Amino acid sequence: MRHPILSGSGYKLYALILGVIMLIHGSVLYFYYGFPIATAVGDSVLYNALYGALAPGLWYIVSFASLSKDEIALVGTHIAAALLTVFLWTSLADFTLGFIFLGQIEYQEFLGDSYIWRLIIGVLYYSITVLIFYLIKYYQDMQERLNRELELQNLLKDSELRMLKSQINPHFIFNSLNSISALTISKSESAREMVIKLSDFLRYSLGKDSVEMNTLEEEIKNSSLYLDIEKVRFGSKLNFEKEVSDACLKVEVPNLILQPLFENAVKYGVYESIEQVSISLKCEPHDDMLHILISNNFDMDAMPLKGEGIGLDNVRKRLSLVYGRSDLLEINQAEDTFNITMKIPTNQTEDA
Amino acid sequence: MRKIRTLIIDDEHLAREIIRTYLETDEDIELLGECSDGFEGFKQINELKPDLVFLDVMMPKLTGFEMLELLENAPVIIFSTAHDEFAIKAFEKNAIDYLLKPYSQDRFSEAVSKAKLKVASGLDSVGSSTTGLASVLEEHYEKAEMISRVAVKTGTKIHIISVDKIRYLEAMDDYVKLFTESGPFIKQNTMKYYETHLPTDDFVRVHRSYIVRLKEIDKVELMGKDSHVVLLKDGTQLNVSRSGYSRLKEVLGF
Repeated sequence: MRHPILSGSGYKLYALILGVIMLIHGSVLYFYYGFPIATAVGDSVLYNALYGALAPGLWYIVSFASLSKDEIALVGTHIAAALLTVFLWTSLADFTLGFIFLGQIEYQEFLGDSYIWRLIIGVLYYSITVLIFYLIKYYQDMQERLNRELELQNLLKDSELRMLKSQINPHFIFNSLNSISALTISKSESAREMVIKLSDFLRYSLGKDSVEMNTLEEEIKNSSLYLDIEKVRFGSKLNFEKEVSDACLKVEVPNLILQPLFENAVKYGVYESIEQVSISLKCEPHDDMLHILISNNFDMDAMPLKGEGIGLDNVRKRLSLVYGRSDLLEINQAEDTFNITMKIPTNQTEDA
Repeated sequence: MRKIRTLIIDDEHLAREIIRTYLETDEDIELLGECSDGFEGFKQINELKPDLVFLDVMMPKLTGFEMLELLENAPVIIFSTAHDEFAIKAFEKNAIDYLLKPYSQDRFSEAVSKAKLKVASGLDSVGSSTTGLASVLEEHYEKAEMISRVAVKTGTKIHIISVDKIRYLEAMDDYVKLFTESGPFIKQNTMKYYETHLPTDDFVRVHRSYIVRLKEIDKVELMGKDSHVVLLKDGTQLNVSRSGYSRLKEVLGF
């Protein structure tokens, strides 16, 4: 734990406070008691400087004592520390001052009379110091807890983001490998092409754990690879068209954010239909938003086997974690067309 | 020896191609044709009566399993799929083998050999080894995934019914009669199956012979001394058993 006086710039304030106390102390001796200026200054400086040197050590007592949960031990520790500190301090000050100003009878008398007061004021000093230290310590603890909480939240957000990222469907890989296995028999050229596409796709999708953002251009390239591979599997049943304005290509988007949208289109469009399914991608820049539209037609008679839209839900959650907005993904269904509109804010830099 | 008449059902042309290629060298096999979806597969099996079918699971509209359920006399089945999670279900349906895509020619030949043995010996001997799986399957039912649709047929026409359209179900010996908005359908299955596979939030088994959609219930009435009936919104009256009544009490909270 940081020492409030010795580390950082706390010592400046501490010296200022000591200086003010010395000034008041000296003034009282000079103006009220009428001691010579040298005596007043000597008493004030020596007496307070000595405490000033001892006080920082009390921090360790406060730090150490707060570790113990036992209240009696705590009070005991402070009483012992107070007595020791005050006794050491006043005795040392009195002895030294008495020695320095040996010739001044009046002052010697004052020194004797004020001893009891010095003890009482000493205890008061001790109490105030310890109280302030406790306040500082409480504040530091709170600050630290807040920091830790913030850190934890960031960690949680990180892992949540990682979890929401699209996972490659193993069946997609095995089916693709089966297609490659078939292609090797008569079309080795196409087999090689597909191996390369599958590798590029896997490299992009598996290697993106650390990077959070990527350009739309890269994203589209990757999704095109995915659709190319599916096209080898499903032939003319899958048709893909894209219309992307050049202004969109360099925009940063969360990586692998397009993939689940295309997967959704393939899963509920192509996989479930006997007829041809067209998937289209459009990107248009709007004021401070990039609009990405993905549409596909689907067989209205087909009934999906399992709960729909986990992939889409994850995309929505991811967008809201990255941009802090929950209105960035719109889904609508018109007749036999499924439309997804994803908006990407372009004016702000993401804070993920 | 008579050749083994074989059919391939898979929605991916390359997946069919590899099976076709593997079969080419086998003198005992006569390839009848290829189908790219379950509807066509159902039709072809009924028309051509093949001995052996290579069957994919995940296909548009009708899965391999759903197609199989609709057949009265199923041929010998070898599943060919990229999904490993259907293996138990496949053997429950008396599949002779389960090939995981992609597979080698050797693994494929092994499956074909088994199929040949089974075709040669008729339908009784080889399949019996799978009955020991019953207990495993019971357990499988316990944590069964809920179904969202049911494939039924009237004559040779296949209908896919969404579970949302089922109003209630009635037991009929080896069959279950499903009452839907568009009329009743008969399906070969058990009440136990539907009790465990229909969403429990929507359906309740009120009697040995009845499972009812909760939303269809108009009221529960006392009938006689201590037996009850449920009245559905369309006026249908169904008996409620003692345990059915306590289940109703629990889900409806009365």
